[in-house]
Formats: sequence, C-alpha cells, structure tokens
Amino acid sequence: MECKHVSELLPWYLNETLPEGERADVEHHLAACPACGDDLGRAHKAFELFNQHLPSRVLVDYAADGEAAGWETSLIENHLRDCEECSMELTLTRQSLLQLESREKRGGAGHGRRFSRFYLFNGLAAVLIAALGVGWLMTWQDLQQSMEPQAGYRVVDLFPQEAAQRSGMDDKTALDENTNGIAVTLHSQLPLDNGPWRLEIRENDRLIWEKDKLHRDPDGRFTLILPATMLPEGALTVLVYSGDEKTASEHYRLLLDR
Amino acid sequence: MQAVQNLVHSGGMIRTDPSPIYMNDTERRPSLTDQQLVDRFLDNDTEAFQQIDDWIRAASRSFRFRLGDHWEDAQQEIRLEVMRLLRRKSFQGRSSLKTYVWKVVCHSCIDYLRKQHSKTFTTLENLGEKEAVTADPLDSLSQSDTAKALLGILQKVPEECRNLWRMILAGLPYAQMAGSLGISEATTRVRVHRCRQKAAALREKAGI
Ligand SMILES: [Zn+2]
Ligand SMILES: [Zn+2]
Repeated sequence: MECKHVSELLPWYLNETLPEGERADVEHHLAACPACGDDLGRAHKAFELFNQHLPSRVLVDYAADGEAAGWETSLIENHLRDCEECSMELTLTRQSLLQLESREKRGGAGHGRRFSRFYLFNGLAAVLIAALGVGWLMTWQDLQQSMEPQAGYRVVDLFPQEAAQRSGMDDKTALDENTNGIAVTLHSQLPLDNGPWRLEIRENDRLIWEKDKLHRDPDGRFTLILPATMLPEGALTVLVYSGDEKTASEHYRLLLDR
Repeated sequence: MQAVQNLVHSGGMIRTDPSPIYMNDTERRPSLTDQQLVDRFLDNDTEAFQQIDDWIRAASRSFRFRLGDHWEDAQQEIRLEVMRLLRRKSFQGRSSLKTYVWKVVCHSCIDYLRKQHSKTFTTLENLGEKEAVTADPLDSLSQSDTAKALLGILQKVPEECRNLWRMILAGLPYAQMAGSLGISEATTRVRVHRCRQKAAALREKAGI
C-alpha cells in the first residue's frame, strides 16, 4: 500500500469501519512507516476538532442567561445552529429550568419561596430566548411520563384530525390567566421508521413556526410546549411531514378558548 | 456503581426510591439562608437534604427520557457531585444555591448523556492521548479555552467538511458514505482527506 492511500484511509481506520483486509494492510504499513505514523496523529487531531462541542458549563450558562462568561454569543449560536446534539441538550436544560420553576409554583413553601420570583423571571427569559433562537416550542416528552400535574401548564393530547373527528375529540382547550402554557402531545399514526419530522404550526394561513429533523419518542409521540404568551385566540393547525420526500403528513387542530 | 450505592447508603441520608418526586413539605421551617442550608446539608440534616434533593429531582427530570435506564444511576452521580462540590466549598454565593444546584444538575446530566452516547473508538483511545479529566466542571477554564479555540476553527471549516466528518464520527464506513452521497468511494476518500488538510491548515494558522 502506498503512503497516500494509507493516509486517505486513516479516518476509517480510526472509526474502526475498514474492511478486515484493508485494516490489516494499514496496520502493517503503519508499523513500518514513521511518516504515516505521524499522519495517524494528525488524523486523530482531526477527530478531536470535528468532534468539538460546547462545554456543558457553557450550555448551561447560556440557557440561564443567554450568554456565557468569556464566550462570544455568536460562537455559541453558530455552533447551536450547526449541531443537533448541543441544541437538544440546550432544550433539555431549558426544560429543566421550567420544571424547577413549576415545582416552585406548586408552593414548595420553606426555602423555595424566596426564589420563585427569580425563577419565574428566568423561566420567561428562557422561553423568550427559545423564541429568538430555536423557535418558541420545546419538546417536553418527560411531562407526559411524569404523572404529576404541572402548575400552570395544561396537558393536551392531540390526535390526527380525521381520527379526532371520527371519535368526536375536537374539544376546545380552555385557557385562563393562570395558564402558563400548553404541553401538547401529538399522538401520530405515522410509522416511526419514516424518519424525522418536519413540523409546521399555522394560525389560519400564517406560518408561525417550522422546524425540520424532529425526532419522536419511542412510542411515536411528540410533545411541544406552547407558552401562553404566544398562543392566539381560536385555532392553531399543526402539520407534520415525514418520509424522504416529506410526502406522508398529518394535520392536528388545537382549538383555544380564553 | 456499587461503590456509589454504598456511599449513598452509608450516609443514610438520601432516599433512593424513585417516587414520589415531591414530598409533603408544607411543614418546613421558615427560610434559611443559602449558607445555612449548605451547612445543614453537610451536617447531615435531613430537611436540608430533602430540600436540595428536591431541587435535584426536579431539575434532572427533563433529562429522564434521554437517560432512559441510566436515569437512576445518573441521579445518584449527580447527588454525589453536588455533595462533593458543596464539601469543597465550591458554592460561593455568586448565584442562589438553587441556581447553583440547577447548574450542577444540568451539566452533570449533559456530561452523562455525552458519555453514554458518544462513540468510543478503541483505536483512538489506544493512541495514548489522555482525555482531560475535569476536576470541577464549573471552573475548568483552560479546557474551556481550548474548546473555544477549536470551535472557532471548526466554524471556519467548510460546511461540506463538517458534514463529511460528522458521518465519520457517527461510525459510517466509507462505502456507505459514498452510497449516501452518490459519489464514488475514491472521491469520498479524497474529499475527506482534503477536509482534514484544510482543518489542519486552519489549526496551524491559529497555533493550536
Ligand atoms: Zn507510509
Ligand atoms: Zn455540539
């Protein structure tokens, strides 16, 4: 094997997917060729670079304050746009703040009381940051699984429109001034192996929010948090698409009553 | 994990049952300052423990689905991490104790998730470059500087390169990459190699 060819194969030597014969050839060559041995070190450095993510501390500070000390916000946000993993972690961190805040609102009494105003503020800030950043919706699969009521959050189960109409489930969701938002779980009939979703939310014909590459939970459900401040009067339509050509789709209808 | 269990049980202070998440806490005594709470916590005061454990539980719940079967283990690790940091007097009152605990919970969960989901390539580990060990994730600054510099470089690398390398990091063989990109295997190898050279040049220019 020539050095050039070995050099090209190194990324897959390192990710351990070379076919057995090639792997043995590369290994053989590496043992005898110092130049390629050096190149292996460089390939390793490429792994390190391309596998770089926001440190967890930075993600958490950014979730709390919209910035992290010593970090340019544009660097953080550019990476978040590019990296699905980090933006998922950010979403979970923001949800965590909401969980803590809603726990306070339940009247934890004792020590917690002093914090609630601060947390209410931060919770709203997190929502606003979400509104400017990844959009104003957040997944909160955990909410469904926890059987406890969340203060100020209404939990709504939605089924695809035809199914809902068939079974007369097209009920209104009542909102009052104590509603902080709605946690909507979409119970999709689309097969999970159709791939990730594209999701759109419309008020009449106006597109309010859209996002690609959304993943459902293993039961095929998807949960969104809609903050009350962003909820219109009347009906919202949720459209989801899946499949390579985004051909398979479902409509959901959410009727709001203030 | 056994060691963790023992440590947790030996204190006799932390409840390990998964539920209820919220206990009946209406009979709490009136508010303590954060520092009093920390002191009582370190003094094995049950109520202080319950308060902090309450925060830990509430804050870690959003990670439960992602952590799956590891959730309970992760929670134990977080409890130990909070305990360890508070013992080291790492809480200095710059924020409220609750915010501090929340931050520790979140970055512990994220690190735990990353540990679970990151592909470990033994070939890489055998190269002998040691993973930097984080003593205190809240103040590991030099590591953070390196991360910042590398992310800055990464953003200058063409997007095509980032996409190609994402596939490699996901553990795809070149044949499969070529197939999904609709190009030949040889072209795939050449492109990846060029990306590596571009990245190396940028790194050299930045001096890291
Ligand atoms: Zn060679
Ligand atoms: Zn990332």
